[in-house]
Amino acid sequence: MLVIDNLVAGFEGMDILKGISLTVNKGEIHSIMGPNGAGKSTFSKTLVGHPEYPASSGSVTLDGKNLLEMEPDQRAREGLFMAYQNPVEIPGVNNVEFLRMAYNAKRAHLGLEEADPMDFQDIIQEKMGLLSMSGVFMERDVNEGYSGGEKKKNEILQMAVLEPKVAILDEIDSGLDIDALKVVAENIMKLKNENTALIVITHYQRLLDYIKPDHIHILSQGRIVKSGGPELALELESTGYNGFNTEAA
Amino acid sequence: MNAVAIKRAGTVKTPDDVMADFRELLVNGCFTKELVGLNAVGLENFNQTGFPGRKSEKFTYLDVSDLAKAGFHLRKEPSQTTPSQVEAQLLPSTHKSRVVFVDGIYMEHLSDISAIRDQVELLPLSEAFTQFPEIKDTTLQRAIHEDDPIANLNTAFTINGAHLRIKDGEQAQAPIEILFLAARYKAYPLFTAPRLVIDVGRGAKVDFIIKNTKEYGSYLHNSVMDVSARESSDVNFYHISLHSGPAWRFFKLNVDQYAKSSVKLVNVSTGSRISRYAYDWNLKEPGATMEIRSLATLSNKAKNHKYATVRHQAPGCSSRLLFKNVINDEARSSVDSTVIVEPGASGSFSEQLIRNLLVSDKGRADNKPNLMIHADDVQCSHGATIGQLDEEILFYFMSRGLTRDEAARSLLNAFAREVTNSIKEPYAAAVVDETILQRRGE
Repeated sequence: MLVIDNLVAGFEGMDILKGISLTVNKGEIHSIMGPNGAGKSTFSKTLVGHPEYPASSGSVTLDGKNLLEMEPDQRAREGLFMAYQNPVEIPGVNNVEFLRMAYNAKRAHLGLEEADPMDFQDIIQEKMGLLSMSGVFMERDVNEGYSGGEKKKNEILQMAVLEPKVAILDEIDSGLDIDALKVVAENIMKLKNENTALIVITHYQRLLDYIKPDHIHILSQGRIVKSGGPELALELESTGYNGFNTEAA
Repeated sequence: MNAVAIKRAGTVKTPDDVMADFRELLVNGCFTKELVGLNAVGLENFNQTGFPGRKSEKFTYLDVSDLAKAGFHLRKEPSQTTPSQVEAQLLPSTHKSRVVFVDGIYMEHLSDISAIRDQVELLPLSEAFTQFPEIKDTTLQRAIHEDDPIANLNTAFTINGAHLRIKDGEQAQAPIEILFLAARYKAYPLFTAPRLVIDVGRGAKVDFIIKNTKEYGSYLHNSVMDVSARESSDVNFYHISLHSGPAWRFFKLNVDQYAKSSVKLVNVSTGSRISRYAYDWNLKEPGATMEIRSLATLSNKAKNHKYATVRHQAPGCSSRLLFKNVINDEARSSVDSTVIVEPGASGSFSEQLIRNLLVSDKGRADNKPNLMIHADDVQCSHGATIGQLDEEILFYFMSRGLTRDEAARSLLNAFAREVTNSIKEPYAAAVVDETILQRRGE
């Protein structure tokens, strides 16, 4: 269970998140929606420990462990994952080798034996089969020369391999055409299970046509101004974000 | 007496001093008589150029003044070395295709080319000079035009070298390993001057692996290789210079390429007190192609310098130069490379790139990629970059559960692979993998 309590965080000394509280239980899907500048990216980067987005007060715990005291790699090994809006390209680092390193880092953390390259081939093949992904991904370097859609698919492949407790999907729909959006969203839903919670960050309601959230939170000016069920997305569709700017949750 | 000082105690030698010592050495019969003419050319050239100082164009970025103070000694006879000591240093693929130098002197009885005898001829340079006057003439002509002072010291003080010929149309059935062994002498630092002349015949194919062994003491390795790659020949050099140490290493490669020949060099080094790799390359006939891929991973106070001159002398030739450096601690790297497209060399293609990864605040990288074009219809580029590890990429790794050190190691390996992946000889590649790629982050 991820518990965020009165989180204040920012960028370059300026508070952008002004007291976020949120509880995400196992298997739940939460959607964070908000206009540009609401603090959505700050929220995700603070959670995963980006050094330029530090928390100044509040707490974040995952299964009772204080994430804010951990380095980013420790948070990841504890089960926190973020699918990036714009994943970096890493020339020279093979995609499968990268995934194997990450997979083994998690296994080592859990006290399990590391997977050798042959064992990992079986694991990656199974995940790629599940996500209907081309074997070309195995031969290429991490995100190098990928299209926007391929990068997003690769993020979801990483999520499939690492099986996080909480996955934050940071505007995973940005830059995708309708067909690619559908494929990525369907793949995400294939990975949903009772142990994995999703936090879906998005501008637009259209992603929620495919990923059905249990809870929707409207973020505005660094605060959650309204929380509700799936019907909130439809309300948002008709009113726009302006209707929520001043309303405290 | 086996060892002869080439510096008077407590003094820095002038060229006149060196000349006087050389005459003394000649009188004492320290050199091989067949090579004395070559030695004399080297000494005369050195006398003309003088000891390299910072005003010397070839040594702008490299201070070698402590060489003159080191008190090197030259050995007439090399230290006793057994075949088993040699074999312990060889790659598994080269036990019967090896050319061995000990203390800078070619060792006929330790060398073995039985696996490639049908394709390759190997002779002591002294014997090659006697049997084949044209080899002597060609080598002398090259030496006469040598303007690199350190290479001239090799010519002046080489005791005996080797001549290798790959026969026309033949493909060497095993890679040829050129092994430089040097003993450690507690009393003095050793001066070694190995010389190798290689003639790759028309249509011949061969791979060379050049290796220095682990060094425990300070000594001067100053080798020169003269290479002729005849029409349509195909040559690969894998030069692996590992194990940082207190040695001074100077390596000069002179290459003449003829029509449609291909010569590729991969150089991987970990640096030493001073390492200098100088390449003088002539693309003499149409369609010749050359490539240098170089990686230096430097630490402590290592100084590593690359100096390359490539001349396009005929139409339709191509050159590719890639120098990559990883600079840790207070290490220093410099690359000074020049591609000259001479008049008439139309249709030339050339690209030069120098890439440096500065991993410490105190490291330094100097880059000088030069391009001189005297012909029309050419496609040439040159550039240099200096950067650090990308923080966003490091964070991406960490957000997947890898530590910062693991991330940095992986990125440095990725940087290196562009060069190391070019080593196609599997045993040589394994040596590089084990010693270069695995030691990252130490």
